[in-house]
Amino acid sequence: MIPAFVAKMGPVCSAPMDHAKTGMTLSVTVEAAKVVQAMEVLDAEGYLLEDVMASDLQDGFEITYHLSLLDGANRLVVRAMIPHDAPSLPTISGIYPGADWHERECFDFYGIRFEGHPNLHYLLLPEDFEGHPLIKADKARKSLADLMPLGYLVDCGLAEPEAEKPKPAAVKAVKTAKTEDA
Amino acid sequence: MQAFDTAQLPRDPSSVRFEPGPTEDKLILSMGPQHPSTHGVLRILLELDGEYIVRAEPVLGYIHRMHEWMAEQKTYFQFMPNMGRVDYLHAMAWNWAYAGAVERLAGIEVPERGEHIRVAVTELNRISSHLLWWGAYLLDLGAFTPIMYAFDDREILLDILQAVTGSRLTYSYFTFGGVYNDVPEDFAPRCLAFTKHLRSRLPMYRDLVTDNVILRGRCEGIGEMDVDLARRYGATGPVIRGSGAPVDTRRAEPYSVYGKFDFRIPAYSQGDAMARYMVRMDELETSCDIIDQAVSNLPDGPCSAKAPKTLKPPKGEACYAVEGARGKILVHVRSDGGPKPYRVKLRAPGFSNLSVFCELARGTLLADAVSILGSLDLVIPEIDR
Repeated sequence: MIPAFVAKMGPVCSAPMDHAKTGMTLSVTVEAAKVVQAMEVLDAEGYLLEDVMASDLQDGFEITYHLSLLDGANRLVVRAMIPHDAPSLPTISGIYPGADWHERECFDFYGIRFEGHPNLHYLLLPEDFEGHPLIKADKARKSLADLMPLGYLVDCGLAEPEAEKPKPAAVKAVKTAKTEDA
Repeated sequence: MQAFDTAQLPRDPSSVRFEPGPTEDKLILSMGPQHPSTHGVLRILLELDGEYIVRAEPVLGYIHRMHEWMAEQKTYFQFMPNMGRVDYLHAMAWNWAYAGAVERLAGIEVPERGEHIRVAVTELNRISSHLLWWGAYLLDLGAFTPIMYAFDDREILLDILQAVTGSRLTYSYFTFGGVYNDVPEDFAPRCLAFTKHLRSRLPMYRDLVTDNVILRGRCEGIGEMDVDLARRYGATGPVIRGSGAPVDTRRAEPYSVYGKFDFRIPAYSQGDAMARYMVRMDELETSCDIIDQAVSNLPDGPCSAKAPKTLKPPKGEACYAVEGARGKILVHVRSDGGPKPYRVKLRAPGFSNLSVFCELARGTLLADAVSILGSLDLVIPEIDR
C-alpha cells in the first residue's frame, strides 16, 4: 500500500517494506534535487524527522532520511543517491530545522555538502580536523545490489525478479539462525 | 581611556563565527565545557544583552568517540559493549535498540522469558535515569537535598541490576536472542519490593519538591514549546510529551511484549519546563506499573535463543526504535552478508532535543536557560556519540 501523497514527492521509485522485518514501512527514492519538494509534502502530512543518515556505497553516497508520524508504526524513509565526485544536495533545514545538525553530522563523516545550509562546518569533529572518517576505501565499497534484499531491488527496477540468486554463505547464516532458535 | 582591543585576544576557532555585533553592550559568554549545569562536557556560546540571551549555540563534540566507525571495524557481537557507553544513564535501551536491529536483520526470535526480563531491566534502568535526572536538575536549580533522596532510592535499584548484570552503570546485558544470564531467583520479589518502596516515596517527593513554590517559579512558563516545534526539530520522549502529544514508541510501534502490558502514557499540554518535569515524575509510576506486570508472571523457559557464534546476517537493512529515557532511540544497521556491519547509524534522542535549545533560549534570562537545559535531560556522551 503506497499512500497517495507519495506521487507528489516526485519519486524515482517507491518500495513497500515489512515493518516486522525491517522496522520501516515504505522507502521512497527521489532525485537529489527533489529532496526539498519531498520534505515539503511530508511536512504537510505531519511527519517528524527522526534522522538523516548517509552511507558510502559503490554507486555514490546514499542519504537516507528517516521520518515517522507521531503515532503508529509508519516509518518512512526517503533516499537520494549523490555521486562521489560531486557530493552535494539541497539542505532541508528550511523545512525541518532539526535537520540542521543531522546534515552537519553527515558533512563531518562523509564531506557531503548541503547547498544552502546556514552553518555547514564540523559539528562533532574538532574544527581543525582534516578529512571525513566514514568514507570507505574503494575496495571496501559495496554496491546497492550487494546490500539490499532482492525484493527492494526488484521494486526499484535494479534487478529482475529471478536475476540474482542468494549467495550460499548468506543462506547458511539464515538457516543456522532459524534452526538454532527452535 | 584606552579602548580594549579584542583583536589582541587569542583566537578560538569555534567562537570566530560568534563575533560581537555592532552594539558594544553585547557580551559573548562561553558556558561550559566545564560548567556544572551542562552535565558533562557541553559548551554553549551565548550572546547576551545584559542578562538576556540574544543567541545561543551549543558546541558539541568534546566527548565524541566515533561509535559509528567502531561499529564498522568490529563484528556484531564485539560492538555490543559500546552500546552501554553511548547513553550511560539508560544503557539498557541502547543495548536493546542495537540487539533488536540485528535480530530483525538475522531473523532471530527472542523467547518469552527473555522479553519479560528485557522489559523489567529496561524499566528499572529508566527509573534510575529519571531519579538521577531529578536530583541533578534540582541541584542545578539550587536545591541540594533532593539528590540525596534520589540517590538513596537509586542505590536499591543499582543493587538489583548489579545482581542481574554484574555492572552498575554501563550495562552490556543484552545479547542477540535474549539476555546474557538468567535473573537470580529473588529478582521478582526484589523488583516488587522496590516498586512498592518507590510508590511510597513519590507522595513525599511531591510534597517536598514538586509543590514547592520556588521550583514552580523556576519552571512554570519557562522554555515553552508547542507540538509543531517539537515535531519539526525531531524532539521526542518526555520533551514532546510535555508539549501535549502522548507520543511513545512503546505504544506507537509496540516492540517486544509491551503490547501485552497495560500502562498510561503521561502527557502535559503546557509545553514548559514544569510540564517536562511532571511527565518524568509520572513516568516513574508508569515504569513501576510495567515492572510489576513484567515480573509478577515471569514465564518459564530459556532467557535467550541460541544465536550463531559468528553471526552473519543476510544482506539487507533493519531499523529498531526503542523508547529511551530521553526519547526515541533508533538504530539502523546495514549488512552486506559479512561478519561485520556495513553501516550502523545511531539516532540519539538527546541530539535532537538539544537542537531545540537555540530556539527556546532566545530572549530568556541566563538563569532560565539553565532551567531549560536541565529540563531537556541531556546526556552528553549520547549526543556526541
